[in-house]
Parts: sequence; C-alpha cells; structure tokens
Amino acid sequence: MSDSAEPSTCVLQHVPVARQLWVPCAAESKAAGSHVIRGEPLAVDGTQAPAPAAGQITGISDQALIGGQIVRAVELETEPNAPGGTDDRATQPELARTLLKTLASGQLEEVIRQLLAAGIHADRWSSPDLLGQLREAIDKRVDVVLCSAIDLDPALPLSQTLLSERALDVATGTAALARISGAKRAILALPEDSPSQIVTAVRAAASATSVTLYPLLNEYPIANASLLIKRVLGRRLLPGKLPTEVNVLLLDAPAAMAVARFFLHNEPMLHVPIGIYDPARARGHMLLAPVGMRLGDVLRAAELETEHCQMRAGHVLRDISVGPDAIVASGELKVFATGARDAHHVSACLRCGWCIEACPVRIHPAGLLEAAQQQDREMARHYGLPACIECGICSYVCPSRLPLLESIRLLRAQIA
Amino acid sequence: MSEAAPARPVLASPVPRGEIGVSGFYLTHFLAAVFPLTAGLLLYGWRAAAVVAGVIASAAIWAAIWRRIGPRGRMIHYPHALWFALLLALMLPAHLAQPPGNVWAIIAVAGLLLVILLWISGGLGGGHLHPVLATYLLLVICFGELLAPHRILNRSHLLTGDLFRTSLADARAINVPWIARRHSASDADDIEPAAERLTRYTSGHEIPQRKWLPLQAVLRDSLPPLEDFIVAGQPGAIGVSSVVAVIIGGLFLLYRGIIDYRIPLLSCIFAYLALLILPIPAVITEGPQWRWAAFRSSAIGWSVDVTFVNYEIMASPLIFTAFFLATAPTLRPMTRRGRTIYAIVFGILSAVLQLYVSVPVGPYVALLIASLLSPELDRWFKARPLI
Repeated sequence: MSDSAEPSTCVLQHVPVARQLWVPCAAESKAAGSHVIRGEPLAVDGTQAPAPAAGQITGISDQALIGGQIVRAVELETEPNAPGGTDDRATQPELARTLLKTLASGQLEEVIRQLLAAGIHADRWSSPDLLGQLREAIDKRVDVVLCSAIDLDPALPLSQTLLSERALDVATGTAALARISGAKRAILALPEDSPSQIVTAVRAAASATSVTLYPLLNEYPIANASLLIKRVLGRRLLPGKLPTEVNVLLLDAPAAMAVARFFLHNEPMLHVPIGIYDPARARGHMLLAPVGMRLGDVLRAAELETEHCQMRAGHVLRDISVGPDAIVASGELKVFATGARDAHHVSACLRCGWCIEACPVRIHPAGLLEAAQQQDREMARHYGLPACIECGICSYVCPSRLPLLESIRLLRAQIA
Repeated sequence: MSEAAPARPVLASPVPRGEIGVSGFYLTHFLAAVFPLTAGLLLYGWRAAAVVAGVIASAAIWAAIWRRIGPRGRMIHYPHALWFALLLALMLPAHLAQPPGNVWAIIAVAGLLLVILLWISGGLGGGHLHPVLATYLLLVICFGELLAPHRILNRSHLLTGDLFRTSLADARAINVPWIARRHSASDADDIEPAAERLTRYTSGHEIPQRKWLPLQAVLRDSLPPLEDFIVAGQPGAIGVSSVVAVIIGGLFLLYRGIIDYRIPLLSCIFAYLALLILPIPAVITEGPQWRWAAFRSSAIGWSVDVTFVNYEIMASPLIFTAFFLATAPTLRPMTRRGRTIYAIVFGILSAVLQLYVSVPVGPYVALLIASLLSPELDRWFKARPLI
C-alpha cells in the first residue's frame, strides 16, 4: 500500500427517486393499487423487498438487473417528490465493538430472515449470491469471511470510494458475518496502491473490528470470486459454485457496508452505490441510486450523456451489454459507457496462443472455440471449460478478433 | 483450428480489442526481419535486393491469382503471404539474381511454389507444414548445387559491389577475420562456405590431403575465425550470414511479445548440448574414426569440442530457424508444455541432422520433423486450470 501515485476517489452522489421503480421481490407481493410507505415491505408476508419510497403498487413484471439476471419485480409508482436519500449517520468505533460483542454464531437463520426483510442482497461477479451463501453456511462450516474491496477497473473506483467514506462500516459488516457464521478469520482484501487516507481509515477500522487486511496488486480480473479466493486463500473454487463450497463466505465492499448499516443502524438497503464511467468526461461517477430504478433514469438524473454509447455491466472486457431498462438492485454495480461499436473483421485462428498465455485461469480458449464449433462436450472439458471465469481477456488479445468469449458462453449454454 | 474455413467478413463482438491484429502481427515480423535483411543487403549488394524483391513480387502476383481459386484461396492473407515471401527470400543466396543464366527463374518458381503450398495448407493459420520450409526444401531437392553460396562482398565494396566481380580468396587469408582482412581490388571473394566444409568432415566424406586429418587441424586451418559468423564474412543465405543481426531481429520479436522465448532458448541450448555429446570423427585416416565427444577421448579435449560446437552452431541456420521459423504459429504447439518439448526435440534433431546430414539444411529438416509432433503435443497436454 503505497502513498505515491494515488488514484482519486469520488464522493457518492445521491440520485433522486424516479416516478417509477421496479423493486425485485421473489415472494408474493401486495396487490396492485396498494399504497406503501417508505421502508414498508412489498411482500404480502412482510418478509422482503422494502419500498425505497412511498407510492402505489401498479403491477408485477419480470425485469432484468444490471448484469442480466431476470427477476420478478413489483412496479411502484412513487409519490411526486418522494423523499429519498439515506441515513448518513457515521458509525463510531465503539458502536461497532459493542455490536460485534453481542453477535454470536448459531443465529444464521434469523439473520437471513432479517437481511431478506431489509432487502439486503448481492449477486454479482465479485460477490456471489450472499443469501445463498448464508443459507449454505447453516449446514456447512465457514472458516473465513473474505470481503473484496478490489475494483475491477481503477477507472471506476467504487469500492475505494466506499472505503474512503465508510471504511468502518465495510470492516464491521465483514466482522459481523464472521461472528454470525462462526468463521475464525475475517479478511478485507484491498488494492496495495490504495491512497494513504484510505489506508489510514481502513487500518483504524480493521483494528477496531479485528479484521485482517490483505493488500494485493489490483490486476484485472483478480476481483473475480474464484480468482480472489485462489490468490488469498489458495483454495480452488469452480466458477458458478458458491464460495461456501470451499468454506469461505465472500462478499464485496457494498454488500459488507449494507450488512453493517443494517446491524448498526437498522437501515434497510433502499439505495445501492453504483459507479458509471462517463466517456465524455473520461471519469467515473459514483452514485447512490434507489433500488429498483431503471439505469436510464439514473443516467438522466445524474445528467450523464450516454445516448450514443454502448453500456456494459461489470467490466468492459466481460462484454455484458446492458440497456437503459436494466434495474439497479443486487446485480452488477458498475456500468461502463463506451464509444459506439466498432466493426471488426474476423480472421481465421493464427494459432498464436496469445489467448492461452493471457488466460488468468490457464485454460485453452482457442480449443474451446473449436469445441463450440464442433459442439464437442468432451473437448470442451479437455480444454478447461468448467474453469472459465468469462473475463474476456482472450477475446481482447486475439489478433484474429475471434469471438472466443461468445463461443464459451454459447458452449456453456449448450451444455447446460 | 479453423483450417480451410472460408474467411467471412462478420461483425465481431463490440468488445474493445487489443492493438495488434493479424496485419500488425505480420508487420512486426517484417520489422524484425529488417535487421538480417539489412545485413544481407550490405554483404551481398544489389543482387540480394533483387532476390528479395523478386521473391516478394512473384509471391504477390501468384497470391493475387490463387486468392480467386476456391474457398481456400480466400484464406490467403496478403500480409501473411508477403511475410512468408520475405522469409523465403532471406533463406536464399544472393547469387540467384544472375540475369544472363537461367538461375533467376528459381526466384519466380520460389514465389509460385510458396503460394501453391500456402493455398494447399489452407492459408492463415492452416496446416502444420510451414510453406516456407517446404518450398525451401523442395528447391534444395531440385536445385541443390545452385543454392550453395560461395560469394561475399569485400568490406570495401559493401552494398555497392557486384557479387559476380570476384577473385578467389587467398587461402592464407582465411584465418584473418573478414572485417580486418586486406581485400583484393575485386568487389567480392569466392570462398568455400564453412558449412560445407564442416558437413564434409562430420559426415565422414572428407578425403585428407595427407594420411590423416584430425578435428583440431580442420578447426585450426580450414575454418575462418568465429567473428566471420558472428558479425559477418562467410558466404551464406541473405538473411543468415550475420548471427548478430539475426539475434537482434529475434530479440525484437521477443520484446514485442510476438514469440515465445522458450523456443529459441531451449532449441539452441539442447542443440548445443547434443553437439557436445554426439559422436564425431576425431580423425579421418582411411575412413573416419568416430568418438563420442562426451567421453573425451584423447583426440578430443574440452576445448576442441567446445570450439567445434561453436562452429557448428554459428555456421548453420539454426539460430535463424529457431527465431524466425520454429516460432511460427502454424508449426509450434499452442500449449506451454508442448512448446517446451517441441523446442527440445527440434534442438536435438537439428544437432543430429547437422552432424550427419548437412550443416546448411539440417535445422530446416529437423524443424519439419519436429513440427509434425505439434498436433499430438497439443492433444497430449490437457489444460491444467488454476482454479
């Protein structure tokens, strides 16, 4: 963690509540026409989906989150000028210590119920299904809780921003989950080139919460769950599996912060931090957007001009296209707006082997392309399909511009 | 991968791509070849330029024609074909540019053969037979003697001299490095290449002028100083005559990340080790008396053996082959472990073929054989994922 060449972090900017929200709710929701107040659960049984603002339920539909997951969502027409914003109370170290003393293992089922009711969830590349992990942790031993404060792309330092503003919350959320799950260690992984003020804040927070810091070189795609667990703990987790398979509970800084805010201040997750890269100004914008807001509304509210841009979720190289209708919730929290699509001429495979050299998980992307062409499952396994994390580096380095990532996704879809 | 598949212009994903495309890949090879090419132009003058231009022009014309023939034709990519043409030209001697005779026709034939083999192999990324290698070996089979270089420009006539305005080099001057040699008034010297002399000796075909001919005597009296190989001074193919230039070109490719360092490094190391060990004629009397160099017979000491191996490595096109041919994507395996084994096999085979068959052609044949292993090596080595 050096003090030199410090990347800048931004301040989280509140996004006003839009007139229409689509709040994910897996349970049976209240009937259309029902009026709800801010924080009131949208589920009939009151177990989940707190309303981010007061308003009237207008219907239920399937919506895509940023990142592509399709979820059932409650349509909520909010009241004009409905109050948004978050509870900005700062957490004191003493409060965090007191909380950690009161928490004990064996409360997992109750905690899952509470988190669900508070709308706290995360399911993204760097933070796999949080509630799913907690459910598995009821029967499976978890010995490490690992929190990732690594940003996939330093151009969009969302985790760094959270650490600079809420380092104690992030550390407390990590430590709290360690207490509840009975894990012996709580680790916070952060980039080794974090700015000095962040390092100072994180050290103080770690000291107050007994969290171990793990600085590491932030090289894409180290924030991927499987790679991070391999790097930090040396355990092998196949992509798609939950970290609890290897006795780890993994979450990222936004999820840890939400958990801590709930335990410390009884604050439900009505807003999520979201980072958007603005190509016009060549800088990242860190926003705090209401859950259920459409990405297009967020962009308009933040006055970001991205009309002629291609939007991608998570990281540019992962090539997950996202439209303005995608919903802000537990999915990906980073959106990259990039220039218009370029047409690339595809050539035959040169057999240069650069995709193999560049692959962070050491599989054989060119072989997987061949397996996709021949629809050969055995060949796909031979070339390491199960280990592919779909980071997109192979497609990036390929001089022939071959659609390697697309072929891997296609192959996975065929096998599934 | 994608062998003989027709090239279809399709829209790829919108993912931003790395800077180097296929054309950039081959352009980088062109830039690396500038170093040995410049050395060749300096050492062989305008005739070298004529050979290079002739082969490239011939290949370009034939490529334009063969591109129209069938789906395979569409797989012929100009930068790829032109790079292969330059590579082939670097492997040919400059004296082929000889307008009065019929030898110049070899240049045109070389371009045609190259394009036909490129078409047969499926163009870009297709096949496991390097068209340049196959073309060169076919030319050697058809025109063997005509391809043996004997001439090199004098230091005072670099670049501007005519290779055919020659005088026979003074036999006594052979031990003086070319760079320090006092040259005659003619533009070029006519010298027997060291590679041929070594081939004759190691294959046991040397007929001694006296009753016996030990290895030391060959090294001491019949071969030029090593500087003549490292810097320049020995007749050879256009791109192979200066080992320094070849190494600089190869290092440029390594620096740009275009080639894998394992292949040139391991192949040269294993060729060197094999040459240190394999049996060689310690002395030729009525016939060659073979001794395992590794067991240090009284006739071959360490110093003699190491000097002999240095000559073998420098006089042959091994280093050029290791950097510019063995690293070709179509030849070498794609997996790291596969490449390691391929480089070792190529190095050892190269040493064997150099010693017992031919110094100037041995590495090329060795590469041809080693490249046949590539598909198998790729199949054997399963991906070992990190996670």
